[in-house]
Amino acid sequence: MKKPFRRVLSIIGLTSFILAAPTIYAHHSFAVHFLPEGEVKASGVVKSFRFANPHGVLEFTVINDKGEEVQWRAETNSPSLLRRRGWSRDSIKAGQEVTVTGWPARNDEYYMRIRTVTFADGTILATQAGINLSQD
Amino acid sequence: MRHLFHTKLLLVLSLLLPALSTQAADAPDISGFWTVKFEQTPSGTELFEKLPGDAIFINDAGGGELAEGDFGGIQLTESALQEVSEYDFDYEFSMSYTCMPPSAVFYMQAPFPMEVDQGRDLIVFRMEYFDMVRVIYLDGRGHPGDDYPHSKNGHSIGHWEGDELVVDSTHFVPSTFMNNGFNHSDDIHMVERFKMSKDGETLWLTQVYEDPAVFAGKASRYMAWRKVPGENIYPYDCDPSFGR
Repeated sequence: MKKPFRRVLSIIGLTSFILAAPTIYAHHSFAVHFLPEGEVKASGVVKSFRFANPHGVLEFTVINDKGEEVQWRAETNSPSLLRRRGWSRDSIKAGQEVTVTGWPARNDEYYMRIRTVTFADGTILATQAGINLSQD
Repeated sequence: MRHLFHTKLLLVLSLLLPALSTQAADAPDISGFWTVKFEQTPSGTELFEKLPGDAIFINDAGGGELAEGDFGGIQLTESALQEVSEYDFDYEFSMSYTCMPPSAVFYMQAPFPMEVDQGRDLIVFRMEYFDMVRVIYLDGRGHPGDDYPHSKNGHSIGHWEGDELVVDSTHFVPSTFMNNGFNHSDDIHMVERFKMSKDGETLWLTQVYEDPAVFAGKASRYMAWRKVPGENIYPYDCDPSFGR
């Protein structure tokens, strides 16, 4: 076997992991700020929703186990990409009840990168293409 | 008199038409909207064969990112390691950083679509990511002198080698190399090869970088896009208010 072909096989092995991964890219480092293998889930009432690049931001209020109000912030990936997946600035409105799943921030207990947003009627918005919604 | 006017008009048109023609006759037409192709296995293996044997392959393209402290196998110089040790990742959430675009060294592999406009003497890459616009000169000019303005888009000259577009880029300003705490320098040199599949559905790219001030030897990346007729890029219109 020629050396270049061994190198190609090596590249294929590496690249298959990366290019098959969902798009969690950020203008900031994703891997440094979030746990790529982690998952967090929180339910609450929407306070505000910003839909502008580089990231949308959802602010929502959660009542914790002690009955206290906790303010969560959750960022989306780029609204440019989300627009092609059916999102708009009106997708989420203040006052709506939502359950949000995502990747937890490493250094902020109440911050996440959004994976899905589920509304009271069961409708789901996903930030990534190809997410199996039945598993969320 | 009228005859003289028509003769002059024809002469002017004969000089202008070649420059206005859409592209060289034997070059593939890579114009159009291209969106990132997430591949289980890379399909552009023909370009891998042309990567320098000593180039370290960086496996972070298309939305993947390396963990903090993982530099994908490249050997950073002492000054680059010092830069990493002093880097404040929280700064990435600041208002002043939020709308700071990366250079073409990094933005070409971002998972955003692009539109390509191809002429004979120019190819223009309009990137959705940060609204970046990159011009590739195909008219045979060389790179300008060192005092030419450096930028995030750099200065790019290209030529066709058969069905491959080879692009040589210099004159970048320092900017993130892999979103991992250090910048490439203003002396980074990038050579790219673009190749379209025979069915016109896929566009492949390999990039090879040299930047002795930042890392030893050569490094490389690979990207692939699929063509989507009828689509257009959206304005990015970055809003710095995301920053804290």
